[in-house]
Amino acid sequence: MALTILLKKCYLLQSAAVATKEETKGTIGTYLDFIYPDLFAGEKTYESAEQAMCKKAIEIAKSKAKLDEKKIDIAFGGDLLNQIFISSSVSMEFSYAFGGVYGACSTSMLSLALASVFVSSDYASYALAFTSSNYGSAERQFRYPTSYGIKKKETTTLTVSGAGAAIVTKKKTDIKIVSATFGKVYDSCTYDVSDMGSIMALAAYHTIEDHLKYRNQNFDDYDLILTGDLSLIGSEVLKDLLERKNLSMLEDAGNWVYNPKKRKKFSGGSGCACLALSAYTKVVAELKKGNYRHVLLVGTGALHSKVSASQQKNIPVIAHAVELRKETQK
Amino acid sequence: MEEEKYQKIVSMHRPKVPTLRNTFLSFLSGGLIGTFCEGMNELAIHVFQFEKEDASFFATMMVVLVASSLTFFGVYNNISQKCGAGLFLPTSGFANSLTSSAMEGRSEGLIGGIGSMMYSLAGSVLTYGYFIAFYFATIYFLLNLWGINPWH
Repeated sequence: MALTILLKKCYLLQSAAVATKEETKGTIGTYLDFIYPDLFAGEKTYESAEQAMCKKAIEIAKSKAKLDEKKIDIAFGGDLLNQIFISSSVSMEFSYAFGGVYGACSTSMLSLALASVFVSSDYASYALAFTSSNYGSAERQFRYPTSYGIKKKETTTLTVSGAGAAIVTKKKTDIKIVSATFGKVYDSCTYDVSDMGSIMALAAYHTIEDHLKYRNQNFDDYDLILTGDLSLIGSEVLKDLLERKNLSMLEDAGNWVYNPKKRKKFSGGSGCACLALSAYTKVVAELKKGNYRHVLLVGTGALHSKVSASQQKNIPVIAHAVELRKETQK
Repeated sequence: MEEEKYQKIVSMHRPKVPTLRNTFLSFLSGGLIGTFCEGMNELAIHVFQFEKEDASFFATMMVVLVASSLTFFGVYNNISQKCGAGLFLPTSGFANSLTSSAMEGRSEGLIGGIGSMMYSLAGSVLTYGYFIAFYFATIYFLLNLWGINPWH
């Protein structure tokens, strides 16, 4: 069973996201804070590019918040690379504490949930949550060289290149972070890494059901339930698992970023940055405008490694959720 | 959630693989590589006046050169997504695996990167190629010892 924590006086101060040109072709393009021309982002390697993107997202979030860096008490961040090197190396420049986290593609919500819990529990006045991913570095880490000519299955999802950062505070803002649900790990019963959307749908299903049950809510209470990277196929699997009709509020960030129905980008987007880009740009902007009033963000992750996949071990899957609400100004 | 129910839902949404189309494209692309190779072979024999054995070596090298160049320019993986086994199985696939791995290893230097990573994908082709060669050579040797020559 997932653990839902109700948060007291916890608000999203500012957020930012950066990505490459490829990510601008979906539905979040106009909301992005900075756009790089390609995967390399002016660097020599994919890894350096991811570092640059991660730094940039954090810088923009801080400058938008007009916040003195000394006020931040802790940062939670993670990425897809071994030993979460990108987040750790970026954190070398921080003057505050760092909690490195790994939840595969659910890292965006795991870091935001932890930052929110720390602020809500008075352990921090300001906390930073950030994450990043890069198609090139992720392909190297989990699959094959980017120019390797192996035929990919239609169920494949493509790692989104970009980074997102959010600052959480006790000070009242437009967006209240109401609760955080930490998911349980489930056995996907498969080692097939070419259909991540379908396997993560299982974790999303359990986390959403547990969250709604604990909060005594219905789907209709939300304007948007945004899953991380279930993609075209995984989203349909989730809808069938939930066995409910009229789930028009249920959408997926992987479909937002790459719009695979129109653009033939396999099954859609995935990766740590997938939900971060969507949540920290479009969702936040629309919440501020009042177009959304109540949103549930569900980050989904497949916790496998290249070795575990080669050894045909079942992929553990997880989903973490964060509930946001538009705060009414008095 | 019962595992059986979950698996049923997943399989219901899994897109059908267009086997017939994939087979046709593989056949076509593999055949085109074969035709190109044969063309190179004929060119080597009739224009460059190569011996027959040298000509087939030249033809193979030309496939390797073209496949590696296409890999370098980032075109190969796009074509192979459509052609599948037609490009993956011939020497072109072998060349692509070497070039793409070497390109990926550039950032780790000449020894730990390019040198060691070049064979990370193609290594098994070589390993089992050597193994099979040794296996059959041993059989051939033993048969010869017993006075049996399978080629005569």
